[in-house]
Amino acid sequence: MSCTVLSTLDLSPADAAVEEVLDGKFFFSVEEPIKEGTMPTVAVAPGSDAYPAGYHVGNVGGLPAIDADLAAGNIKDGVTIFGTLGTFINTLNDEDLGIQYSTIHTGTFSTIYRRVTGYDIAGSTAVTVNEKTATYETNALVLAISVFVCSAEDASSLKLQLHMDGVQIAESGFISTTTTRYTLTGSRSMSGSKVVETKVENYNVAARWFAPCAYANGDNFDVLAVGAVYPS
Amino acid sequence: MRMKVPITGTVLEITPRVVGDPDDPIRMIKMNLGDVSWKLINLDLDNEEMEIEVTPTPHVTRALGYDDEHGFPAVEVRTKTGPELQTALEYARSFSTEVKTKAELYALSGSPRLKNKFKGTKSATEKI
Repeated sequence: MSCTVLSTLDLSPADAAVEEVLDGKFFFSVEEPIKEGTMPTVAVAPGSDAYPAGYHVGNVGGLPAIDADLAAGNIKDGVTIFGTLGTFINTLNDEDLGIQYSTIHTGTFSTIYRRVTGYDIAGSTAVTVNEKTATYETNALVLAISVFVCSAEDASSLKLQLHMDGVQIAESGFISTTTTRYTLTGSRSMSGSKVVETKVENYNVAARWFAPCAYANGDNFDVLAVGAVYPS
Repeated sequence: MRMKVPITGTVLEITPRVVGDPDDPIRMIKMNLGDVSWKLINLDLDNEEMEIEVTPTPHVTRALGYDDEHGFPAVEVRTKTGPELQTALEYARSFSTEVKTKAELYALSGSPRLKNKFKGTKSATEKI
């Protein structure tokens, strides 16, 4: 009987193909036999970024109901992913930090003297007084702190400098004639084996004494600390 | 105070980041800016200059001419006055590219121009 009804209808608008009908559902088309749809039922899964073609049942809870990791606290602050505004601000864990120090000594305080070459206007370069070579992971953000306790022969000739990977990052004011602590800080992105240096520059045309404080055994008092923050 | 100064030295690498020759580092030309300290803000190899943040030294130390009870030279340390700080900054600024031409500053310092084999082929600036 149903065939009789079909035969009286204009079935030409029925243009569904089997792949457009859900798998397990049946339909008639202009020509027999009865056909079964082949469209698969699919779903997005929390363990995959695949977005398969087919019929999606959906989830009234939205994507966060499929993968609970899609949460504001897991997304970078200010970034919106599928309607979820991120609030995560990166903070450092201990394992993100690689910190190295030049040798720190303890002992009796004394002073040593070092002659700093006079100012050769054509080609003088600063004298390295402390350096630290370390190997960093790719694109590490390297932080350097140079602490120097020292004095100079006069109060308007010598300055401390901080160099990182062949680039001058900072310079102090004039080193005083009295023992004073100077701190220079800097940061750069570096990769591989690199050197960070503390240098003394002489702005006088004549040679000048530079006197870094030291312990009685002759070891310098100064500290050059470098730390690296590695990208995750 | 921020100001721009010419640079000297030798560029070894530009990519992925600027590397200077440790024996001839990329640095400010040898210019005595007076009693100020500074930190690098921006390195501009294309224009052979760096932008620095200059801070005047906050204290003045004066030797008193005798030793203290510990045997060290006695000194007087005082905080610089506002006009003294301003004078220090103005002196430093007189060596900036905003006040003098680069050619003048290179000539004044005696420092050679930056050796950059990548000039004209690769561009490089680095914000610190």
